Amino acid sequence: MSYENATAEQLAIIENTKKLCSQFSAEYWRKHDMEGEFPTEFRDALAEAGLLGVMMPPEIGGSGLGLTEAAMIVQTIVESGAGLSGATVMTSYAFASSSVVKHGNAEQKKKLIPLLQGKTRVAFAVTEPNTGLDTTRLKTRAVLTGDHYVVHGQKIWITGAAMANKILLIARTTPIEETGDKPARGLSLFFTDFDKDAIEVRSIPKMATSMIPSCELFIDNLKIPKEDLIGEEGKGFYYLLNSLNPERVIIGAEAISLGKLALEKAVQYAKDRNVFDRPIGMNQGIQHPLAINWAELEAAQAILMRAARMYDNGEDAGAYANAAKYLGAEAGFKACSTAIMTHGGMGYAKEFDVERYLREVMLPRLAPVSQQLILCYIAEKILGLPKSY
Amino acid sequence: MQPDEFSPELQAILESVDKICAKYEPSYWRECDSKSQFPQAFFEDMISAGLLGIMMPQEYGGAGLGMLDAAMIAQRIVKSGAGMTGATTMHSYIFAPHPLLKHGSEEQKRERLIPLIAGEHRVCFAITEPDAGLDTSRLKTKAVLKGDHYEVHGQKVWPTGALIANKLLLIARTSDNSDTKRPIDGLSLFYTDLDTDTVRIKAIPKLGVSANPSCELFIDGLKIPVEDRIGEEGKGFYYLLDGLNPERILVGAEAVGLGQLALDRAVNYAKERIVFDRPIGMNQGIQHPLAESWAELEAAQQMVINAAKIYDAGKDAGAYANAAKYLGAEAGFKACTTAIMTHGGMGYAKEFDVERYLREVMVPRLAPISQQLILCYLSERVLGLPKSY
Repeated sequence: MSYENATAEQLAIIENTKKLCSQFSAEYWRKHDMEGEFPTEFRDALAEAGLLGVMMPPEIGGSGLGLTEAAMIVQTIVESGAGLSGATVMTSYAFASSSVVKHGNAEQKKKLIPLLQGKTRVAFAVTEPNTGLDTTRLKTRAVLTGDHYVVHGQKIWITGAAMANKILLIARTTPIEETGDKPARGLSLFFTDFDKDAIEVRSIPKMATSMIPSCELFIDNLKIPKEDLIGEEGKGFYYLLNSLNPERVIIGAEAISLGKLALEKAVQYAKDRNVFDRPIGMNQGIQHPLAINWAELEAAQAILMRAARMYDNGEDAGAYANAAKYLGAEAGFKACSTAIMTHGGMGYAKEFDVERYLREVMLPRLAPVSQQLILCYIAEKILGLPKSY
Repeated sequence: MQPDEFSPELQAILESVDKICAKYEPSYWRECDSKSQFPQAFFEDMISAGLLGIMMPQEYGGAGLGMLDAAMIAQRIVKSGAGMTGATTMHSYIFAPHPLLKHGSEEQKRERLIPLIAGEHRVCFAITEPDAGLDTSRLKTKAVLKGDHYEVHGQKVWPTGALIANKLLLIARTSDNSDTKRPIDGLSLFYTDLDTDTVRIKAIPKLGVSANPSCELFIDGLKIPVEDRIGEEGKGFYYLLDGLNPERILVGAEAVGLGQLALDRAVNYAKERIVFDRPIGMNQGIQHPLAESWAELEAAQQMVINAAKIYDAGKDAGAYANAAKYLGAEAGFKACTTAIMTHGGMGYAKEFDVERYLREVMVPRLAPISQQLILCYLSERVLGLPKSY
């Protein structure tokens, strides 16, 4: 992406990120994708460059940057050819822990330091198989017994849990029947050790980003010391809400850049590939869909930067963050499928990478929230339409 | 498609196909796909049911059925859950031996068609070349007559199943481009032994249907006895043209079948998955895209049936065969995408199969010819617009 009005500092950050990423070739990512192997070297390079804690405060080893800069870094990583797999290495480390920074005490925050150095890894455990996007209904139960909580339950889609030694967990501390019409009130947040004796981890075979496993967790009798509770009991859900808008902005940024990467590959192929004695890109049937992709990606990018700026200025970014995730995922998806169609048969071959982009771009369409619920949000909160469900 | 629109004979055949396919559960196909393992047991069932020679005359062991029968059989296989992984095991047997049947000598037919239909020979079809793409008239693989045999040098891309084949249907240039009136005049067709000493075979890692590998062939000094040439020298390209419409009709039928399979799975999930205290299928945001897919698939299905009936009546099916492939692939693609979006996060998990359907439905969009060239065909031949390239 080219960034209008970027500051000199931002340009330098982008330049550094580019340099770091250029050490990792398209073959590196293709190989790790096919073999489902975690890109350790890339993670180490990110840690060394201080990119695991972009938005974290300097006192715990972060860079103290804004969402705008974080989006720029993520986009540079994706566009380097690393795709969503590369970006997920970075985002799955640090973003989830912002609630610890905001609501944790000094002791708890200190535990984030090795995380930002790439030495420990946290599993961010929110979603459950039987509640889906109805997050306030989470069932995993944490019962206070003396000086610790005892947890039972099940979590799903936990990125990198197989490698984690820390867990950021949301669990119900008050039974749902006792919370009246506010089921979210009974949920609490914990930042604790990932005890493999009490948590069974199963990785989920999936369509893409296989180098970073997504897992199911079966929690049976996990003991959490009282001091690992973040903030107050019963406030966990509200703590998480703070991180929703940045998460949507970042996933939108990833989708747009994946689309941009696919578009670049497709444009290059359309220029180079000669059939019927001329580049296939001379055909309007090839070039117009690419032109549409360009316009759609740029439009999504404009919304995205607006959302990031609003968040950095402390304004309510809800509308634009949601719109950025929706538009970014749709424009990115269209660009990735057009890239395959531009490549013809070769689009089906792994060698040209665009097939991987299509598999990866499904993620921003599905996570962290469905496109349908984004539209419900916009319909209700922006357009004032009655709730439909 | 209401079954009562089919003849009782076809209905009975489809029921027996259903019965065979019912032996193979989704987990069988998932495993073939994940492990890139050829569905041998299923393929053997196809052989014993006589489904390799659906359109071949009974005197060679075929079933002597028509295009509509073949298209609906392939579709039923896809729809059973086998997807393209199942259909591609028998797909090319339906139309690819046509040139041999039409232009081969009686001896060639007896020696080649009978063991082929009986499943004793495995053949791969080597037409496309990496540097010619869809401009088939520019094929470069060269066959030079030396006494009683031809010697072949060249390269082919995408032949499916070459790794398990022992026979080769090959098109190669027997006269130089410059010596012929039209570039397509100098091509000849051969049906010969696949000699792995002179043909090096490399599998192409690809987006879907990995259970049935597509390959690159590097042909260096392959010797083909003169008696393995089909028909006259220099007429090979024209012989292939006969198979184009059946192939497109078949691909259209398969794409519709895959879309219907995805739609079925999505509808079931939408009925069963409860979020916010009701099935997600109660939401218009979920149900309307599914309804749209139903309508689009039905329309494409009618086009497939029309095209097949026109072909069976011995008339020129070009317009409808092309439209059937185009509409089928687009409707199938949309249905497969919608199926993932209906499944939410679970759509990304291999366990629910819809991610495989999306990967597989890209085949009918890309092969045997791009959607763009289909539209060019319709523009020129049906609408009378000037050629654009």
